[in-house]
Amino acid sequence: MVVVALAGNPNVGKSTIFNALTGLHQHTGNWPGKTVAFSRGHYHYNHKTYLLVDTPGVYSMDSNSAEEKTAGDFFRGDHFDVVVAAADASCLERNLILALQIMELGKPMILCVNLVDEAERKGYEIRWDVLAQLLGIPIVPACARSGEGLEQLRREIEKAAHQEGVPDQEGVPHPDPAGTAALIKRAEQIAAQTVRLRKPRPNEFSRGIDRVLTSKVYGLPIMFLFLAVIFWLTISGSNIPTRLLAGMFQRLEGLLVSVFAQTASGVLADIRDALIYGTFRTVGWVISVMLPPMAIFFPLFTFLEDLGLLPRIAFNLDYFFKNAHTCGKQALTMCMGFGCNAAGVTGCRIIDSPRERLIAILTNNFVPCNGRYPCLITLSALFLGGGAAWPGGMKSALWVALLVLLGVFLTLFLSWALSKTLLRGDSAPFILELPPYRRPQAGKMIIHSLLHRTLFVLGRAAAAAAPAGLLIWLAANAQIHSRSFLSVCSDWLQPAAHWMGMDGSILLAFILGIPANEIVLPLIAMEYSSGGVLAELGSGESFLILLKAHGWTWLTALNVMLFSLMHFPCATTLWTIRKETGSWKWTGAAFVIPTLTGALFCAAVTLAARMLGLSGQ
Amino acid sequence: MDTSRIKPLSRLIPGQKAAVIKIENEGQSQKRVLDLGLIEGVRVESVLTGPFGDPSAYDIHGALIALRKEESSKIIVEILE
Repeated sequence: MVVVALAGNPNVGKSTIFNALTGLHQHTGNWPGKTVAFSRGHYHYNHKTYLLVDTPGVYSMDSNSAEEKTAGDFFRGDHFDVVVAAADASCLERNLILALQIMELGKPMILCVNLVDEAERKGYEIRWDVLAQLLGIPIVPACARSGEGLEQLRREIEKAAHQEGVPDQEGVPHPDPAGTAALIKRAEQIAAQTVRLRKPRPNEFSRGIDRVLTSKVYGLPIMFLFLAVIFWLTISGSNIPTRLLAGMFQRLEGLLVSVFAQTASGVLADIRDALIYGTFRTVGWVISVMLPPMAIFFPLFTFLEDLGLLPRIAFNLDYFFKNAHTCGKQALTMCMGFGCNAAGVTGCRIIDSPRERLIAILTNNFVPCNGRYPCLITLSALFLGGGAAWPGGMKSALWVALLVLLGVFLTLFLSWALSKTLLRGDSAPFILELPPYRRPQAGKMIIHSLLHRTLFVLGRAAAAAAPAGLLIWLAANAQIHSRSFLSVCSDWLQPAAHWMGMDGSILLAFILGIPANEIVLPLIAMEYSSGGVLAELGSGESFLILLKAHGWTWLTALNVMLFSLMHFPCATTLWTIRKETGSWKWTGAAFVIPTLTGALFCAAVTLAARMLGLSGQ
Repeated sequence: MDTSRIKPLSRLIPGQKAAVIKIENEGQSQKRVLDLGLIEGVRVESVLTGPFGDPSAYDIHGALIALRKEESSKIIVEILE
């Protein structure tokens, strides 16, 4: 088997080349640092197997950030036979610096110049023959997205694999070993001889958009607007599908009940009830509440991600992160947290300084992940929407957007507080590349990543919900001194919950929801309706009636939303934090910090509302 | 050499082009700047300034790179036009 390493600067389309060659579906995104770990995939060509290793994008082979070190170590070791250096055709000069460094490894090498279509549109003309001659290695112009050049790449890799050891470089001028400066000069020279620009300003379009998106007046309001619009589309769009799904599960439940009604008695009947009213109902709940918003939110987010908006957000917010003495890239890991906090924590590897990385990990949970949106969105729609002056769902969307804004503010505030206390220090040098805007990849890709992401999150939620639903049902039906075990637990939590403007059942649901945040709201419904029957499962109106019957007001809903925003991370995230920090102490801190913040926040809001007589009762 | 044309990169306004004449960054910062391909003689252009005046983004070797004032104020350039 031939091992082929794929290397290059960040954001030149390595993952796209990787996917195109191996047929694997690694998630791509238009921002530097997306690939933080190595991925491996196979492909076959002329009866031979090739193992392709995708490495994180680096700026140089000898840097000291964690991700660049792993890449550097890999390349210095003897783990591969052929190296494919990927480059961006519209930024060849900068990419050549790294390519020249890779050439010094002395391995059989191919330069794959990707994104030629984009470069052509911008007016770049590249003299391929001169480039190949100057570098003395095979050059493959490609557009990995459309598949152009891939056949030639496979052929060149095959040829290179037959080469024995160091390719004959006689007649090829060696880059000056004196240092990087010489390489940079040489890259400049090569680019000058091979790249011609037909238009005077190749990036004018991108830069025009940038000037608006990063302007003093419009920059931040536009980003907030983006956020609000995404939530509005998600809320207003998921209404009807949620109702349809809920109705479907209800009919299915009725069917199950009638089919198994006569089949069991005694203990068997209890098991049947536990499975239907516990497991099945909770899973049905989770799917009908979560699937529609996720199916809308994910593609929208992927679209913005592919477009290249995330680095602009980081650019606009960096001023705040600098004043919090942390890294501007934390804005990127924060955005990843919007998808999944565990992914956000892993993404923190793009932050070089260990101090800043730890801060980013500890505060990642302050932005709500996908598992928490359904709770925020549902409660906001039920309790905080309304008002005739507001078109459907817009007010609820604004509330959710404001809550997310609060999360961003808390991220900054706690990062600052950590920098001043537990993790003292100054900011490390910050460098961020703003890639050109790219047309998001074909609808096929979006649908694909949607299916992967959505099904992944949904599967996890359902897997966590099934046993939790069973547990709740059993706890609700197991008696201790003629009281259900469930009510014993929630009564015990009641005093603390009361201070936070909630009740013991809600707090218990948060605790039982540790496996996955997605199930908190379904668990609350299960607890309230335990013993009795939850009529019209999942439909908004009956849920509202159920909650109001248990004393919910807008204040309760707001507190649940606040606590959902600020509480302990889910089990997966905690496990990831343990893995990334290697320390139980910091994992504990990641548990305590948001929980304490949330408890204090809810208590303060509740106290203020009660003093002002606004509790809504 | 006209000294009024020599200033730190951070003082460039968007649209101005310059050539690097000296890099005074040290340690980690020096390494980072070198990784970007910034050495004496390299041409740069100021492209964007953030909503709060910092960071700013520069065209370096055809890539758009954002730098904080901490880094860009130590890169001394000569304005070209």
